[in-house]
Amino acid sequence: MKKWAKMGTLVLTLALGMSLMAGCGGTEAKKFVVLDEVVGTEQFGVGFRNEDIALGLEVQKQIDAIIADGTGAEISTKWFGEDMLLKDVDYLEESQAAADDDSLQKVLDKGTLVVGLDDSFPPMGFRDENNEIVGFDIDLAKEVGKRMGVEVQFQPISWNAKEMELETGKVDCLWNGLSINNERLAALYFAKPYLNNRQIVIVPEGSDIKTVADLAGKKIGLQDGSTAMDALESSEVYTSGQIKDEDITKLEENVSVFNELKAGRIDAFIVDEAVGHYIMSHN
Amino acid sequence: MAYVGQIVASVSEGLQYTLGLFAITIVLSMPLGLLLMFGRVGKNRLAKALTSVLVWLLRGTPLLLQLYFFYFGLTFIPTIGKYLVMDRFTAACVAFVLNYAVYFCEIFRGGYLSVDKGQFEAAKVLGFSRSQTIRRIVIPQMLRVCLPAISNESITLVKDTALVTAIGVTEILYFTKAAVNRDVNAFAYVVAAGMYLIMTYGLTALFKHLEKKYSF
Amino acid sequence: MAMIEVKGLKKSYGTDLVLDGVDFCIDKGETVAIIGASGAGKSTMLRCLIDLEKAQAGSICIEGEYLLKDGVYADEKTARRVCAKMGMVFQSFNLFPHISVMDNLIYAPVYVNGEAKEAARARGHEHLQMVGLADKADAMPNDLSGGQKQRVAIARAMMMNPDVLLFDEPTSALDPQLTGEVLAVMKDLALRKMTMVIVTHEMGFAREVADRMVLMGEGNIIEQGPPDMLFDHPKDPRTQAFLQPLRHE
Repeated sequence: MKKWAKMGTLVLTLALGMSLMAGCGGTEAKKFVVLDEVVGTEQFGVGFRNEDIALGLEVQKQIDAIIADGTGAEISTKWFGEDMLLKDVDYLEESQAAADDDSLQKVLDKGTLVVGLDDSFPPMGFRDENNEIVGFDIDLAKEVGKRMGVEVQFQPISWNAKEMELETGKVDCLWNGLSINNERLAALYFAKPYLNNRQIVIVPEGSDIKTVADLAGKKIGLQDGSTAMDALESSEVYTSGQIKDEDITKLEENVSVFNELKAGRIDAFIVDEAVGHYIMSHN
Repeated sequence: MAYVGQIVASVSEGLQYTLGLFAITIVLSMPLGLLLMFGRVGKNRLAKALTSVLVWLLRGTPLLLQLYFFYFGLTFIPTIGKYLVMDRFTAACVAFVLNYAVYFCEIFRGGYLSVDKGQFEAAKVLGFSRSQTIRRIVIPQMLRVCLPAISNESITLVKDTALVTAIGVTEILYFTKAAVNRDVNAFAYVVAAGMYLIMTYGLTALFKHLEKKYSF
Repeated sequence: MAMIEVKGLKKSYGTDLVLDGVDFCIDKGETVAIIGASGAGKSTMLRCLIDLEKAQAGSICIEGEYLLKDGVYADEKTARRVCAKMGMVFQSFNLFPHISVMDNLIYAPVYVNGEAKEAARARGHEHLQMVGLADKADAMPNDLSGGQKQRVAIARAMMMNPDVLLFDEPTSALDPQLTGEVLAVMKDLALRKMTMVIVTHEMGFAREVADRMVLMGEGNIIEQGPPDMLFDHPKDPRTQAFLQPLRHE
């Protein structure tokens, strides 16, 4: 009896595994394309607590220096194949307020800068085969830390709880592919944006969706809590009421959304450009 | 095959937190649950009221919400909040220990009520004190009755440990998601499922053995 | 000096008067059978003697020490000392099911009286022999028959060397063919002049073994005396009515 139970468990596990593997394999033949038109363009920035202006400005100063001396171009080329860093951008409105707070001194005193990140966000920040956290933002933050003379500690957090993590002082800043939008501008302090981020649309090859306007009446998937939703909301096809809210699937992981697309449960996947290309190239 | 090995290795890195949280929760929540149980069945009205409220609160809200409360929520309390800042794992342990203590309290209460009134009377006429009666007569019988429910609860606990990803504790499911996102391949989920199955299988076998050993 | 002296014992559950001023005495070495219809207050009185039930008025004095004096209970320490002079055997045996027969016998001597385990075990074997269960020391209670369980319960009570043994319907939960073995053990104790108070429905046994029978009804004692007197020359018509159908049993 016991033997049979054991065997049964094993068979069940194997079957489950096989079906998953087969599921991935079977649809692998399916190809995906990115629409030429994007849903929206936004910018990545490093988010700090609203009152931590001194720290924000110091980090910005280092990023400016990194861009100026060419180190930034190296890092960008390593991850994106080209230099995509924004240059000559100005401070955001009201971002250069008086830096009379002790936030910078605090970080210098403790000798560490705690960076909160969602480490499942390749290629900005993610885990490599050895579970080391790597990525474009990681390299950039490390370089900033080196120049500030502090150690950078990368703290993985649940992206849904990022504002809480920052607010309760568990992390000093949010830094990995954090798109700047109005809500976040109100809640956080950003100095300058450092990267352009476009919200792209991924569809199966041969789909009748050719433009953003074609999304009308289609089923759309995107990551919950990401700015893909903001971009969609401000697009004309959405504001004119041609996309029903119940047709938008929001999942925690971008990969899960991609799997929805593979399974055919959604018609289009809206995602950050960098992440979307990473997922497509690893499919 | 090499890929399977690599996934197993990287997911296993979360094992220390999964197993650590499991062990700490079991070791601390059972005695605490026993204590709460005696508060609940005892004669002291204040203890009765307090434990009843605690059971209601912790059993009546999602564990995930309690995790958020102990990790984030406490720090918002004016003046004393800054002394209640716990690191992730500590907060996870506090939430789990309290939550499971409450469930164990209710399991134990069921066991306690199942002990025949005659057992208390027999112990009394033989001269046992109240605490001796509880320790030598009631608890052993109660635990035996509760074993299947404890077994059930501990298996649930193994699976519940996956919840702590929500406050960034890097347990098994956490590294599983990392691998899925990195490789754009859902196979890591199978590996994680296998690990949970192995752990729950071990627990099932252990409790089967205990039930046999303590049958009467 | 009387072994047990009860005066004016009163107890009620709400408005339901169970004991209505009971008076009686039990002497050393006496075997007293308490009989009466169900609900007459027999068990309640017995349970009051060993503090399993609280009375509201009256006195209970065991070997000169008061458990209850004029409606006021002794402090806990005294109460425990007084009750330790008595042992009790229950209708439903109440053996501890999670430990062996031997452990049932030695738990109280060892953990309550601090007796050495080995000494207690030696006495345990003697007592098991006395009740005819020498081979059951390692058995678990649930593996025993009802009669065997009750004999273990008697041995367990005897392990504490009580001056009085109280029996609360010791054979009522047993199949008729199993009552004999329990009654035999009790008879043996009576012959050895153990002081015993037995609440029972076994009239034949009561008549044969008891030195005195006490008939209770409506919360009080209706009549008491030597068995033959109650059976053959009852004074109270209620005694007659209760015992008449059983006379030729």
